[in-house]
Amino acid sequence: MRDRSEIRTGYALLLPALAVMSLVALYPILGSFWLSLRHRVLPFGIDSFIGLDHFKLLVQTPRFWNSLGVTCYFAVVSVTLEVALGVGIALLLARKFRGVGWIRAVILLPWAIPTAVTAKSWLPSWSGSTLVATSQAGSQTGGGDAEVAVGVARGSSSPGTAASIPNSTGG
Amino acid sequence: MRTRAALTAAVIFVASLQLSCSSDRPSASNNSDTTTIVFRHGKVSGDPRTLQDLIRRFEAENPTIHVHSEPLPSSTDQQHQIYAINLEGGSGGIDVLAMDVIWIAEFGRAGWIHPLDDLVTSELRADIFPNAIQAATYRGHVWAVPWYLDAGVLYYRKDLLEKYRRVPPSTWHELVETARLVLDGERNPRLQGFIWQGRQYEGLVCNVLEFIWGNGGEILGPDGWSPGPATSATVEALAFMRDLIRLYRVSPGFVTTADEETSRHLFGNGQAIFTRNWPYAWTIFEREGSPVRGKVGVRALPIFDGHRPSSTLGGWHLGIARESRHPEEAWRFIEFLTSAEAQKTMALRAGLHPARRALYEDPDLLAAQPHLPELGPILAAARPRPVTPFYPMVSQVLQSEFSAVLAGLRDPETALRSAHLQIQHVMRLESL
Repeated sequence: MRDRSEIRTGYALLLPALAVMSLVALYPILGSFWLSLRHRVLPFGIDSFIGLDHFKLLVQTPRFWNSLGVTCYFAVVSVTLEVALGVGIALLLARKFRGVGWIRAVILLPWAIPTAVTAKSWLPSWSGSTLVATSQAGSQTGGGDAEVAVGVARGSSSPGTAASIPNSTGG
Repeated sequence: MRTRAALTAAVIFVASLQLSCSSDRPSASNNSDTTTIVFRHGKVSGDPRTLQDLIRRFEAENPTIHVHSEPLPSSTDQQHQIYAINLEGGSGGIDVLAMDVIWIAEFGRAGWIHPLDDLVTSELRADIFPNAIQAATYRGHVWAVPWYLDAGVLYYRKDLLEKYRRVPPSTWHELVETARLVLDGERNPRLQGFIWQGRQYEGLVCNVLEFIWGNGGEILGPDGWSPGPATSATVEALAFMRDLIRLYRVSPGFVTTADEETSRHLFGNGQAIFTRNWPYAWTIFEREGSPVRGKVGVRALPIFDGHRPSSTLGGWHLGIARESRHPEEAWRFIEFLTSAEAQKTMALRAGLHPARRALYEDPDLLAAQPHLPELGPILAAARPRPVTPFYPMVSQVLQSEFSAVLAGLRDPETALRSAHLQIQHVMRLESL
């Protein structure tokens, strides 16, 4: 019987967090879904329910499928790299050797830096003016979304790998 | 906790007081028998004193009106945003505003500006280019008065064409041939054939429309707002632009990242045989110390065989904000700035091209700007972009589809079909 009251207390303690999460996470998600069912231009006073018409348009647009493809490609490449490198590095760092503390600290550094800052620091390597990788493609915008995605995936794998270390070594 | 909330409320209250004070400041600083009107506008090219002098002349002629001129940031996107925020809120304190020609229908539909039907008299209409009035007409109302105009033109290197005994091209295929001939003869790796604006932005839409119109194609149907069919003329024109880069190789790959200024710099440095740009570039090419001074010719954009040349009409119009408490004074100021006299001053001192037709025969102007006789007919034949309040959305669609074609990611037919579906979807808003 001790269990039941403990469980109840547990749920009671969860409630504030659930309330906050549904306010800051769930509400915007549901809100944007609701918005996606409407055609709306506020300055013109237009706000009509149009059902799934936006989605009907999307599936007929090559640009949407291209974006979806690039997103999937990005997800698969970056997750694969992160898991493979992360587990490998974690196994190495789980050993005891001289200086392991220092190396852990160095590898954790990018994890401690906000993602936005990391992304910005990668920007010059992949943007038009400094152009490290895309110039071979002949035209900069012609480089294609996939190529940029490789860049972003590479960029993100470094903090991502670092981020996976505490999980693998900590447990 | 409670004291902090009270404190926050107090701070917000005081801040809002200060805000409202600061927006009243221009009129507060004057005595009671003068009216202050606020004029917001983008930076006027050339000497900034040109506009200041005009305003002073207006104030001298109208001693009871004081004009508070507030320049906006140079990016037109930012200008649009500032207008949208201030006019939608109705507290921007704006009386007269300068608008890019593509914003007028939107501002009118949103109720941000006054219709000017009674003020734009037939006398005024008679002297202003009709296409510029058409660009400011939506749902049967005229919403703004043309201030100065723009249209796409072709600049060419007179000296290089003479060297190879070629005349300026009147068709796109002649342009390709001539560019190829000169490029092969010069063997200068820094020299480009034809530079235009291919970056994914509004300028790209202007460029592509000129090719499409010059081939007898259309983007929108005859009603002016439903998407036109992806006819072979439209598809061909778009394919030709891609081929300029990929097949004929007279335009370098980087035109897909070029805007007006990139194009102007390259041609201005003597690194291109042809370029498409707005007339503003002329004054800069002919400036003292310019490497191409005296070597530049200007003419109407080429066409595809058997079609009429059609440049994209650009330019800035003046309108009165709905929120203005001094619409009469605002109109007097607009009348002054769009008068033949003021437009002549702006043409002479800032190189801006008048919206009044008679000025293209003005002897003083012709003496100062020898390219004007060429430009008058081009402006008269220029076509407005689709006049719809949803133009920004239409343009977004076109920009991304056109750009995909130039980059070789999509064939023209697929891109146009996709663009038409999206435009159809946007234009449903017109009936909601």
